[in-house]
Amino acid sequence: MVFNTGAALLDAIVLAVVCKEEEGTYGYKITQDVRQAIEVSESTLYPVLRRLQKDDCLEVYDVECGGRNRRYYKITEKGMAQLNLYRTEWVNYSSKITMLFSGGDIV
Amino acid sequence: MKREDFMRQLERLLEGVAAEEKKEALSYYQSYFEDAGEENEERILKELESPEKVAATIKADLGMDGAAGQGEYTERGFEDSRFVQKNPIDIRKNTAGGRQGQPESQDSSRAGSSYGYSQGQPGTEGSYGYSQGASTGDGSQRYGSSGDSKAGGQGYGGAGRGSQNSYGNYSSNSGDGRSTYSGRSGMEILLIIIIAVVTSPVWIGLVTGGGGALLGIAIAAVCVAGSLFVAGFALAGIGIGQLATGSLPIGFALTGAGLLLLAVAVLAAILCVWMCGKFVPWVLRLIGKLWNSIFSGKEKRV
Repeated sequence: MVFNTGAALLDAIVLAVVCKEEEGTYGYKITQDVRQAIEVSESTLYPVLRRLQKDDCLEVYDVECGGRNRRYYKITEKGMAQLNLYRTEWVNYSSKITMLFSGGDIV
Repeated sequence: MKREDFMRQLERLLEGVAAEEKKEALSYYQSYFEDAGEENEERILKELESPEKVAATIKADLGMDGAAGQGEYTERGFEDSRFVQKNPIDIRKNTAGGRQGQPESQDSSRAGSSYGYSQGQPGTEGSYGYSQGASTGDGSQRYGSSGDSKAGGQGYGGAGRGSQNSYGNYSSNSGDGRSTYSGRSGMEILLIIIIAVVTSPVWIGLVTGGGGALLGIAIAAVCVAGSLFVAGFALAGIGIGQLATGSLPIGFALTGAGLLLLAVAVLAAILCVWMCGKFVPWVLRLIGKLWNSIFSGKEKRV
């Protein structure tokens, strides 16, 4: 893609993806879901997930699956609050850019 | 390279990383391969490129590559480093080192916004604050949300714009340059209004008369300029005709007089343009301001 995805936007996308799964979701699936929206390499998301986890935006729990543990990620209250902040910011930001691109004036 | 080799190399490369972080990362990638299934193994190995790159990404996020701690993502636009340091949620300062050094990273000082996050007691209440001020200072927005951990409710509210629009206790009368403060006694205001009403026949006459006079002067100036042009051209034309056919002295005199008249006509035309473009609108604005100040004075009384 031409445009860079900044860390904040990446956080917001990951939070949005995880938020969709009420029961939580796991690393591989998160990566595939994020890839529906933006191009990310397989190694991009681990640090993001780890950070969000450390910041208490995501909580993790292990579920046994086929004789091994699978790590699930689930959004926390704090993560939801942060996601809502991002959503508001995004509407504000993107509408201005869209307006500018379409030749209108920002009111 | 096989998956086992990849994991072994990654483990070796992550030496020096805290044991817990190392375990987390290794188990993540282990699970990743398992969840992807054997059929995707080759593709993932190819996309991950090398264990070195993956290890570097992990280390960069932990601030182990030295430079990562300084990399700020300016798209977020926070300017206050205190927030960055304290804020548990604002993690951007050290992400994937590979993306540092983008051209936009130099803008950080210009963006006039800051994020703040504060939490009172863990698990009790959290509040988020966000404020943004445009560099021109003509707009400001505030978002705030507070969430109770039990209820999980949060709200965004309050958008304040243009704080300069509120004048507090006084209103400014722009017309005469005076400001009427609420501190001024009611009697004084009443007196001003009474005087204004009583003398209204006089000043209304003056204003309309003045306006009419100005209009008359403008029209006269246009007419004068026009007639001067006509006369100047006529005289100059006759003079040139005389030069060609009749006596030279009369011809020269007429031509000279005609050119002089044309010069005066040009001056008059410039005066007209100035009158129409500058002076008349200025007078009209003045009248409008006077009217407004009188009008708002009356409103104040009501």
